[in-house]
Amino acid sequence: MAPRKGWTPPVQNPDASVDPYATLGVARNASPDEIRAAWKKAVLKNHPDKVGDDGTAFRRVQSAYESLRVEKAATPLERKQKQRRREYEARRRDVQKW
Amino acid sequence: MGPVVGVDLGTTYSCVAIFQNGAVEIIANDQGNRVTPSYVAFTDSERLVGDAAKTQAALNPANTIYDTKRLIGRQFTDPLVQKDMKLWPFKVVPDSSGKPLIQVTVDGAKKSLTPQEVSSMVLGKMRDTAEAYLGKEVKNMVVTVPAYFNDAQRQATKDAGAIAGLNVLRILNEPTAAAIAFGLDRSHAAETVLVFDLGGGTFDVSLLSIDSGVFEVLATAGDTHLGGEDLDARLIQHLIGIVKKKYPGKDPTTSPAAVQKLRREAERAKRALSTKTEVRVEIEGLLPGVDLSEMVTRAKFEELCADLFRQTLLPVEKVLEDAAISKSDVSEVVLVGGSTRIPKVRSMLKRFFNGKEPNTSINPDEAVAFGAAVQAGVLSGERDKKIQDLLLLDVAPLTLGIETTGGVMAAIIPRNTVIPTSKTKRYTTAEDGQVAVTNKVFEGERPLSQDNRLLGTFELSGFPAMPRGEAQIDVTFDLDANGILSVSAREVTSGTEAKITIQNADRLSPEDVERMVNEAASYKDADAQALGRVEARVRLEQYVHACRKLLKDVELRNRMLEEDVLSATSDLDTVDAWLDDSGDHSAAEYDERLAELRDNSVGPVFERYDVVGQLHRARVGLLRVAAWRTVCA
Repeated sequence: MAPRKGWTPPVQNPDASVDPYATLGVARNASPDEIRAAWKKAVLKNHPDKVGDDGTAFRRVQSAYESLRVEKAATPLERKQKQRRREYEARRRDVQKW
Repeated sequence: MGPVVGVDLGTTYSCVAIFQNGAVEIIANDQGNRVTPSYVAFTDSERLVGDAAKTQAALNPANTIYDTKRLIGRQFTDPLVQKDMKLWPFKVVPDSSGKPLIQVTVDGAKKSLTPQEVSSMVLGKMRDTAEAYLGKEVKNMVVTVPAYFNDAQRQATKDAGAIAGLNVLRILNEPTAAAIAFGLDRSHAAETVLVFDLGGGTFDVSLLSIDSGVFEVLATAGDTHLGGEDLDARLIQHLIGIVKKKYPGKDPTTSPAAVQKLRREAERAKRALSTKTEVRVEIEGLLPGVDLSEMVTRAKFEELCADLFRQTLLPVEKVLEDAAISKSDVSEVVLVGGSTRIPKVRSMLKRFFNGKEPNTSINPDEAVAFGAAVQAGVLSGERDKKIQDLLLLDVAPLTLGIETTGGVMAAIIPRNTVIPTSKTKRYTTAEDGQVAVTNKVFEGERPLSQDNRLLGTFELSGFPAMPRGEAQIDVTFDLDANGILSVSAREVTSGTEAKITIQNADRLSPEDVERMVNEAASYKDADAQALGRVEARVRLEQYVHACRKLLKDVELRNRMLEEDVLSATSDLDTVDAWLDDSGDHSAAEYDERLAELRDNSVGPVFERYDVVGQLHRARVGLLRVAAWRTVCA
């Protein structure tokens, strides 16, 4: 029998190795506000709408920020978002239990 | 790159704007209107676009096309297309690959047009409007689409621009554009804004964070088939029911012209009901022997549309949940789109947001074009302090992923991811000795891929046979700033690669686009000919008019011989009669008549009295009027 052309779920995430702090140019103990300020400066400098490139630099900045955003929840609103996400998750699990 | 304009290509109306000298200007069309109906009509002699096409819709229903935004990027068998077709007076047929084509009759011959081609005509009209205003050629555009448009609908919209010979620099999401219009002049600290955009045919909700010039879309949701037209349709059905009851045996749906009249009056009544509590719908001669005169109350209208109104709250809930933001965190609810004038929509939203008054500070009809023009300014590198620090971070509206074993959809780019973006995930083989994998790319939110939309398929093959689980295959999804996807896959240990840009089944091939570009150019020739004809006619008319004006001059009449007056008058009468009783002539014929008048008949008479100078002055005055009329024609 010919091998089935199937996929299996991901084994690992290949682009998890980059250091988001270095990409944004902030210290490891930077405050959420500092991180957001650094991100804003970086996106204004790197977005393809501003520099007219294919967005490689922007993608790097954005993915660094997104990983820190989840980890450190930069602004008060994001902290609330994070809290609420946890609640949604818990509710979803409760529903599944039943 | 020359001027870049922003165009809101709407289901029912379109609007064009430009950012220049630090401000946005909405450009009025040749009729002086700031919005142009998205209508295209074919008469025996010409093609009409915009106001002219909509005005004659009831007289020429089968050849008047509108609503193409509801067809673009869809399949003929799409249940929504099938449903809409029942109310359209023009004919829609499937092509060989199941895409819808609009069929019209031009010069007695059947002609089929793709929705892209019709949209390209509307885009062309918007370009012409901008060119007339700017006095410059316009080659580049930012075109808006509903945020919830899928990949096929976006691609098709881009193709429409290409057919019109335009370079679409960016496909921009409508609610995002509206948010720019709202936030451009606000100097507030960071705020969270919900844009509620209920237009003529589509509905979008986007949640954004606006933080001193950086517009970040947090979540977006919507319904690409919900808008004012659906409300009109409810009202039309209601009126049809009344007619059938009052006149048993009569059915307005059998007459496209009657449906068109009902459509026009239903739209008018709906608009009136936003300010009045009741309105009388009157159509004389709807059908032979059938007159309609019926009072419609706001309460009745709200009852007819109650479920549609309720439906608009679902996407609002969805964006709040997606972004994990509570109602009270929303600082402004911004209304966009003509249908947000409806009192019921406003009161419902107000109740949903616990009494928060919706923000109506921006023009609901123009905000999207306004924002598109600002983004056009950003992309064209306009140096202006207002937009120097302005940046838009938009998101992908739908989850993109691949099918894994068991038909499960594996998300690679989740919805609401900021674009441009690339995401890579590593997969492995499921079988021993497997040397190829088929990659099926899907878009949608359902857990099983069969319930989502297939965008394309490609195969990665030629890597060495390995025990299952040993191959390491990186799949990379790349979404550019327009939200257009390319996918690549690479087997890491051997370096085997495969790459595609998604060219889904709905996409026009480059050959198709080229053919349509050429056809569009031929329309342009025909349009130019028609314009030349009108101009020549106007030249002749105003010469005649100037002569008549001169003949009324008392001073001149006193010194003119009676026989000269008589001969001049009779020559002018002959030409007027020729102009009145005959149809269209060629530009050359008009010019011939003009030359005859000027050089052989009345011209030499006036020369004898030395009043040609006066004649010219009279003409210049008329010219200004004529130039205006020519533009309008």
